[in-house]
Amino acid sequence: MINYEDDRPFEIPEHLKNLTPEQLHARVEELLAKIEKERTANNPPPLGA
Amino acid sequence: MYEEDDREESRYGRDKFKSIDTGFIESGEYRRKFDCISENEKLNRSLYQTAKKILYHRSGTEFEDMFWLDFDTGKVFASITDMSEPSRVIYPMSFMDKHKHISRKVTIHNHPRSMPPSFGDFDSAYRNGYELGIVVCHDGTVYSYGVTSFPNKEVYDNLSSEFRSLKYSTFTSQLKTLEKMDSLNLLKFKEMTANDQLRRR
Repeated sequence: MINYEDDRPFEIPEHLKNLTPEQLHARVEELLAKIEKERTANNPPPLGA
Repeated sequence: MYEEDDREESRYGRDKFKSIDTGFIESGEYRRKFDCISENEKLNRSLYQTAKKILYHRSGTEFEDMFWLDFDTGKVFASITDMSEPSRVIYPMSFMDKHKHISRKVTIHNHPRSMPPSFGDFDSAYRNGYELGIVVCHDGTVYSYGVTSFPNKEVYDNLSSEFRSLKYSTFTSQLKTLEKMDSLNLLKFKEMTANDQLRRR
């Protein structure tokens, strides 16, 4: 496997190119909600909290 | 109409964006950017000296150099300074095999276009277990970056695309994306400034 560090500007992936700002924002929110859910599942609050 | 960003306009050969300002690189203000990278003064000093070496070597070009330092001693233990492909440093995973005895590794490399760390930078940091990464830009900006968990490319791509769709330039989109992901503890990212205060435990 190859590593690369690079200075190349971000290019919007094909599958995201035609989405509106609102659609992209909704996707971001969904992804972040999923991450938060996984974090909570992996780190449950202590008993009695 | 997108936010104007001259950095994206200059892509070929020697030009004002890729040549360093030697007066600034030699200034106290630039030197102080390295003072708060870590609590290890030897490391900070070593990073500063390596940064200057890289920038002088690659000033005016699109090429990148990369150095690896031992976090604890500040000593350089590896480098790549002969890349012929522009705007990237490429090396196999096996490159680090002979340095497994070094428990905490720091990398430093230059960005000729002065863009913030790319997703590739974070991805490489994660896969190689780097403690910390430093990017020194040809415009004098210094970034530190790192990961504590698998860097999420979907979030990065969607966030960056969202900012682009709002007509921010590529530079600003990348910067805002990293700032947002840092605030959510999805990665670590910071622009180093001369006014930083080292947080002491």
